[in-house]
Amino acid sequence: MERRELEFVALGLAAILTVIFSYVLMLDARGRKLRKELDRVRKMVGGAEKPR
Amino acid sequence: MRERIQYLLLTVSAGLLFWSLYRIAFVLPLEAINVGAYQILYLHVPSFFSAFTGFFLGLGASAMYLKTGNFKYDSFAAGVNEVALMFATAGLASGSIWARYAWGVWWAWDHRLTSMLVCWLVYVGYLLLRKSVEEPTQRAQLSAVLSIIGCINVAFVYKSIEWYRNLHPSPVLSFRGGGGMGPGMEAPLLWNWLAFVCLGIVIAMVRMQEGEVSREIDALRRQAHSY
Repeated sequence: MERRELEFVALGLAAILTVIFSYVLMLDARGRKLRKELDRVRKMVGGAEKPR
Repeated sequence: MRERIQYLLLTVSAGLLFWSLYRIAFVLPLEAINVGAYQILYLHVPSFFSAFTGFFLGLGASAMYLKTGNFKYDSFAAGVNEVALMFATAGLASGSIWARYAWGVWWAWDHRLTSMLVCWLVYVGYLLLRKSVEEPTQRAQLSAVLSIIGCINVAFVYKSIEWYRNLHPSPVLSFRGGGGMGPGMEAPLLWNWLAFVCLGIVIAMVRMQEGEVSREIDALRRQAHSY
């Protein structure tokens, strides 16, 4: 296998891994944000329930 | 229980990928099937097969949602379609790199590539639609219809290399009626597909957990507004 071919194979592998890892990191960041938001809304609803 | 399944699937996926990459790097011949840099295809093809598997699961779930109105199917369709889009993106990126090596261009407007790009755009539109519609029932119905339309295009993408002769290679795999890739060369590709599917299931499960959290937030907000 010539050097140029090897570079393209490595680039292809890197592209696939980059897409997958980027999505997983994005999913993780979104999950953290959602859980934070859930805590905030739970507190808000808990606070709203007291006056009733 | 859910976490155990996720860890098990991740282990299976990682094991299969490492074994398969080892075979591709050290066992398979360096030059084969008259195609340069053919090793990329061992990840490019399974990426698309995994994407298509996800899109078809999304089609089934969307049809079930339209039939039953159960939001669990909508959540499942959203999860698998998003993960399938990720695999489609990986497939397009790796395909473009291989095209640069084999054809000398990053992109060619042939039937396979163009139809796949349209398919990719339809599913990007699916995700944008889900973000833009606030009302849950309307969002679920519209996205279910779009998911079904998108999957018709997936069938076209799959068959396009049989119907049209263009730059993209014709079917090679034996189960698609191609000549096969030589003894022992097809198996790593199918194992990679299985590895990607296992990985996809784990990611889709995490994505659906997020969907549950999102629904809980919506429910709590509605509750707060009703006080």
